[in-house]
Amino acid sequence: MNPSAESSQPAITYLNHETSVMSWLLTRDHKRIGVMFLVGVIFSLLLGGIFAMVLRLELLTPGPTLISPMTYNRMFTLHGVIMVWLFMIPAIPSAFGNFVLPIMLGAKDVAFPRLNLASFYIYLAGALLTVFGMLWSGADTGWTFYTPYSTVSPSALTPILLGVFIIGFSTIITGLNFITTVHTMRAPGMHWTRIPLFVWAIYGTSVIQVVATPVLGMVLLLVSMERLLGAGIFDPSRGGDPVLFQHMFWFYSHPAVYIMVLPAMGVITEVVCAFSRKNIFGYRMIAASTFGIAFVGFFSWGHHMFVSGQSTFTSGIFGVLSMLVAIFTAIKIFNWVATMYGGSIDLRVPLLYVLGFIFLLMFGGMTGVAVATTSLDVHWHDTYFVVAHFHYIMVGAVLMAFLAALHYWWPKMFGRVYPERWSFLAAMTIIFGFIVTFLPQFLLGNLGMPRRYYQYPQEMQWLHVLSTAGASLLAFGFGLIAVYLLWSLRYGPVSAPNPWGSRGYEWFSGSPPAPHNFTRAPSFEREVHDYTVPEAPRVY
Amino acid sequence: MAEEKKKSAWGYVGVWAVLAVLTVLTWVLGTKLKLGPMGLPVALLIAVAKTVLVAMFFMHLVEQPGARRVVFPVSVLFLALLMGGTLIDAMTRIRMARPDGIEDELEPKRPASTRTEPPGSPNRWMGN
Ligand code: HEM
Ligand SMILES: [Cu+2]
Repeated sequence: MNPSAESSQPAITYLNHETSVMSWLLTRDHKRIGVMFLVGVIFSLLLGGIFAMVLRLELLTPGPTLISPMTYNRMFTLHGVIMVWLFMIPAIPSAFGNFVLPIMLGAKDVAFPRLNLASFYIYLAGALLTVFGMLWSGADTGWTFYTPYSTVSPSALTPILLGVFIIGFSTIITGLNFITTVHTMRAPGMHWTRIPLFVWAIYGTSVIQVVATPVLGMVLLLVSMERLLGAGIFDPSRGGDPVLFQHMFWFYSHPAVYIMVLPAMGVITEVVCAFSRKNIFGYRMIAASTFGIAFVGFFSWGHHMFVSGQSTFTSGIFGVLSMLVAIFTAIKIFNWVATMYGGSIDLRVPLLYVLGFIFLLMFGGMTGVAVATTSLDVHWHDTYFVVAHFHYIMVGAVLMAFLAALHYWWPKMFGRVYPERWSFLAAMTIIFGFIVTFLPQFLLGNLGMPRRYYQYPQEMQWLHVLSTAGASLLAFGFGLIAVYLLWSLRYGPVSAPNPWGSRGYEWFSGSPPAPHNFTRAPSFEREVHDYTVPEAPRVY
Repeated sequence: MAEEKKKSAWGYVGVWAVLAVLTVLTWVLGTKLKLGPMGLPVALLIAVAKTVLVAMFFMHLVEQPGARRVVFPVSVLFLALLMGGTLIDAMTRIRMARPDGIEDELEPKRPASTRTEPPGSPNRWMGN
């Protein structure tokens, strides 16, 4: 019935059918582009991580420790800009989305393969310009580029603004490509209600990317104009309004946090099903809540501006609307847990990261509701409490999902298996290290420790020391992952086509997949992740 | 789009008439019935409505199938959201007083209709 179930890898795969450097650089294969994005974002993660370690080491003692105050300002800007735009935003959609989305739909490639390659080079160009700008003079505004400081800062901000502007195009193009792919490239049998939830998540993300990113582009250009030409849009002495910057910036950047977290939620949904051997509880609710989050995410940007001089009336509206997001998030969390309940759970490393994800997302989400409460936020705004809130989600949750995806799809992408014990050790180190790093930051923030400060009172030192210790654990965990994954590329045992026995559609192709994903047209007769019928895994 | 069926032009004339009425309306609202702080949002709303009509009928967006049709209204919706949210803030902000008490130079170059009303004035939306 299915001859390929026992056979190991296909002889010709997307990795070995052409091996020259040019065949990679000029490829139009979504899988290779996905791998190139993966390399790009992991490199960015490494860079951002190094800067984070420098920050944490500086904060080990209350006074000057390692670097000068000005270098410190540059370091947190470098860290923030790289982590947000070079890592978080493209990480899951551009790397894993590119790799598995077309396969999940039973397609040979994305709708616009050339545009897909262009998107990678645009990302690269923007990233290089950004990094160049930062090395040249080192911006010191933080990743938020708030006016009026960003319009007068002596550091060379313009190349960085333009670099991020350029990266925005990559985001938009990738989003358009995915939307078109979902609409036009589905294989026979792939009804709208069979589309894997990871694809729905990427689809929702793509809509946000297409709608919100132009506003970021616009505001970055306006700041550049203000710097170069003295346009006066944000300068009150010429009739401008500095708070206008924050409106436009957060109109993008709040939805952007859902650009980061929605794909992560998509990964979690796939992994939960695969390792609980159950289809998702409430398919429609998960898909609908994805769009609920995407939509409501656009109505809450003002919650970043409670103390900016924004009117009290507006703050009230935005505060209330922000809380709606929690409802949709809660729907998802409930459904993941309900999926695991009564499942036949196989606790492998990807599932371990999922458990970490759910726990940390709860923390991040609930403190989100807390900081969306206007009166409380006046106390917490611009303190480590907010830093801890968003790191719980962005590092705690999104990075967990990124690692879950990396471990879940590693055999799919490279056809190799990594050592189980080492990966368990690394996962536990990372989850534990994370909590030690960021839990103290809630306490610090509540004590009044402002964010982006170089010095602090003596009484706060023990919490800072804890945090730095946790960060070192995190760094160790990442180092471990890097070592065993690189090791497995060369020496790891060859993986079976479907090592997890998953019934996600992406496993219908070989691992690693053939150049055009399938050797014959796949057909989808059953719901995704349907484990109710005994059946050997099949590979088309 | 393949077969060029001769369509009646009356639809376009109708749309044109609506556009003309909206133009007159903008003028009447702007010059005869002064709307105060509402002037700008209303003018923008009318402008958006007119743009929609032009894009839908004269640029033939209504004839497009399915998803492509949604793109334009969605963009308009989100633009309206961005501008609406920002304007609501600008219109309900507390008027900042200068410590030296000089009123005039606070917001010198903006036309009076876009200036924030002082607290307690009837034109001000919400208390504070
Ligand atoms: C229940 C959902 C959430 C709510 C109600 C919420 C609310 C808030 C609020 C009110 C702030 C501003 C606090 C301040 O600056 O004083 C904030 C900051 C932030 N949140 Fe959330 N949040 C939620 C989810 C998320 C998610 C999912 C992410 C990321 C994936 C995220 C990332 C951020 C970031 C990056 C900041 C800080 C930005 C900065 O000032 O540098 N939040 N959040
Ligand atoms: Cu936000």
